[in-house]
Amino acid sequence: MNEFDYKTLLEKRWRQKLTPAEEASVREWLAQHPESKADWDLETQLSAGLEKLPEVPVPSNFTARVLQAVERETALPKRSTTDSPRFMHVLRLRAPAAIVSVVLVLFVVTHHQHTQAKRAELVQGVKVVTGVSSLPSPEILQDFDTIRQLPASTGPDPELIALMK
Amino acid sequence: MSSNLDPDAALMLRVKQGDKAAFTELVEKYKQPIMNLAYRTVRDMTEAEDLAQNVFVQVYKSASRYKSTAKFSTWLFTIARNLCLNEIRRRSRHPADSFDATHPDQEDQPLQQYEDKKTFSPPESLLQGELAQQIDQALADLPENQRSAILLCRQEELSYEEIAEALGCSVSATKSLIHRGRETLKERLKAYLRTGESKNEN
Repeated sequence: MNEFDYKTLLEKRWRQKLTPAEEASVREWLAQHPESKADWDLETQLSAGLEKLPEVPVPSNFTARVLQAVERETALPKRSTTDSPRFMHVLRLRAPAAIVSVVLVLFVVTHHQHTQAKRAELVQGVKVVTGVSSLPSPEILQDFDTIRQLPASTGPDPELIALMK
Repeated sequence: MSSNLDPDAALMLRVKQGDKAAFTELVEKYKQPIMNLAYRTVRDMTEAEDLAQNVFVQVYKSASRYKSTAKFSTWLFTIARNLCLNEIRRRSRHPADSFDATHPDQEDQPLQQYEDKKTFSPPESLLQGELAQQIDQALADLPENQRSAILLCRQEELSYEEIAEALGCSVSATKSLIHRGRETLKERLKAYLRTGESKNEN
């Protein structure tokens, strides 16, 4: 037996008792490797201790209770997801976020409509300007600046009117 | 149906068709190992019973998804371990549930029902030797994956491959978990194990 076989038998001992032949092989190995003896003893004692762990008591009506639980589960109509307390809990948690989202969407829609209305107004103005078919010739406007600089309060000049008459 | 089909898988195929007798047979066969695993995970008798009950309810509800190619015991222990992990997670989120907390599905029912301890003895009272008590306590203190690996290792019908499947890891990782768990147990129980040397045969 080599070390690999020894390890294999050690792993086997974790789960079950060894056959007499396997035990003999281990004894032979341990005789040649006395440094492993203490660990082997601890391993076998631990395995024996784990095997002797008492079974946890199972109530006598355990199976009946399982069957009742299964009956209850199968008899229950499938609940709609909106009825479940978990759904309501999630809804409560997310309601503020939903309200903020709705307000945001309303704002975006209103802003978009306002922008569209302004754009339509501008288009209308451009249409009016492009509708003017002819503009006065530039010669007519040659004294425009002089005329514009005349005082606004100046009324008709009676002297000039008399002379012209 | 194949003649070399795992007998439990054959029962499960009947459960799939709604056969309650086959289901009862499976519950009877596996209630003890499932209770052992549940109790040694949650360390509370009432919760262990509820957990074990849920494991079988889950088996019944999931019967339609069961494939006969899977060994029933591996599938069962996988469900059991997942529910145990859920319970551990729930406990870590709610370390002390209020006695008045209501059940999420039935608002008129308390979250937990506590059985009168006078009517049921906790397993501690049944632990005979000091060694058994010490092993039980040392097991409880192991990390969950090492403890589950060691407990599943006690199930003779499960191979290392099947234990690995139930734990969701490779065979080598499973053996490593068992080895590390056992090393911790040996270190902690050294004094007790040596004392019991003369009493415990190999």
